[in-house]
Amino acid sequence: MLVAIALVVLVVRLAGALRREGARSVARRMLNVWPDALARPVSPALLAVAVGSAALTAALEQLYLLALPEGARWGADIALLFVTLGVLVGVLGTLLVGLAGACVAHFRGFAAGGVAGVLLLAAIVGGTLVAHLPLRAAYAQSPGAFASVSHLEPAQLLIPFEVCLTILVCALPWPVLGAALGARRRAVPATTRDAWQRLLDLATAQLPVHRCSWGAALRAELAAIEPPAERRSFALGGARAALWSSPPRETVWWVLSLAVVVAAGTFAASRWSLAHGAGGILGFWVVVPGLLLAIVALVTAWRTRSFGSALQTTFLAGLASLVALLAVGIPEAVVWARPGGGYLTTGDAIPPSWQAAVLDLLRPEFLGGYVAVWTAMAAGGAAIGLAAKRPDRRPVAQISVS
Amino acid sequence: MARRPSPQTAAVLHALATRGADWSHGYELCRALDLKAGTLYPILIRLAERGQVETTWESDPPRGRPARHLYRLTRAGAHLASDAVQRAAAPEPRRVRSVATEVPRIV
Repeated sequence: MLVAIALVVLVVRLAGALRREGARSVARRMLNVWPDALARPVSPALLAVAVGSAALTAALEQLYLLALPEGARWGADIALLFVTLGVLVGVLGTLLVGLAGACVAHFRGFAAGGVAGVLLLAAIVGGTLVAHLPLRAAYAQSPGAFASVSHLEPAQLLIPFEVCLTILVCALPWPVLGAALGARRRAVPATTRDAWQRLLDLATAQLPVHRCSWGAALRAELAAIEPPAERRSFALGGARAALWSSPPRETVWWVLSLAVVVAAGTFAASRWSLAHGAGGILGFWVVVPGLLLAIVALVTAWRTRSFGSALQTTFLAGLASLVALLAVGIPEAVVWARPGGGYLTTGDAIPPSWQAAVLDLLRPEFLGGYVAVWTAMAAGGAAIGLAAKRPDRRPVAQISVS
Repeated sequence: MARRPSPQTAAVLHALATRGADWSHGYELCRALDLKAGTLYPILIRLAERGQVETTWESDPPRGRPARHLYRLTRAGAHLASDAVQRAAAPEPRRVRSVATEVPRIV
């Protein structure tokens, strides 16, 4: 779906550029973007990112292979822990390329932002592949030389790294979406006097529409301040004010609604699954709150035209969902801890005690997995919400401050 | 009963009250009250959203500089400011001291 949205964004942008500038000018600009992007001093930085990705992947692979045989002794599922880590790293990489695309687009336009994001993604994926492919080839040649894990198929030993790579490859639409979001606010004149002005520009770029004149007020005030120390102090304070502005009014409603829906859903899924012998409800906890958070992010971003406000609301709603999940999940885990039941998460074995059943809910690989998947879905929802809403083209002074 | 404004809010109200019908800009208030922008602007936003501060844009900015945002008290804001000063005179040790230490610095 993200690929489709990114394609729609590209087509809309291209059609707009063709209408404004004509086919010849657009073709010339498209040809110029790539050499221009590569000619700038970005090659060493991209190389450093590629080398860093390769080094990180190689280090994590060695750590994984060393830790696997010790998992049983430590009482931890190392494979699951690394799958969660792989998801988390993949999501962080995705957010990073989207953010890079948005930042570059904010100052240099949509095309430059898209190219920068794609190049960054290529560097990350390239570096990861350079480290991973030799290990994969060695494993394919002699799997007996590697540790075996009882609950993994033989071909799945390296699955944490393949999950991470898959997420990174699927991140291809994000540079385009990030660039589209970053370029939206260029209607607000960006002064680029120094780093402090840039910092404040970035911090105020995503204020909700009813607050964006306050962003303009802060930027205009900074433009009038001369002493460097005063500029630094004002920019830092202004950025803090912009980033910690109060969340949208409907946040409380969303937080309470999600807490109630997740609590009720958990109870219903638990009882239904127990009655029908359908196994644990880990899948429900990963998917359903994630989808709800994506909807919250989408609606909030659409209403406020602000990625930051959407994430602020979604963060609080996600926290409420987690509390609701645990508040209902803990007593339900005790109910499940009997013959015919099992662990509430996976339902694959009878816990030795009710304490073990409860502690299973708090395993870091599960909690980290929820956070990783929910974050990705919420960020996707916020991006779609912003892409769906037309930017406000009114001059800043005409937008009400109340 | 309306909530008592914080010492910083009371100081902002008082500073704007002393300017009367004249407009103030954010940096000027930051300097007068020795407040960071991160403290002052949320107060101004809150006061503006409650209708206690009115805002406008500088009409004739110098060339090459964007117009600044200007602030002054509305009638409701002026009432709130005078209430804050009266409360500062009331015998409540901690609050009185907080506002009282801000007011002489502004004047």
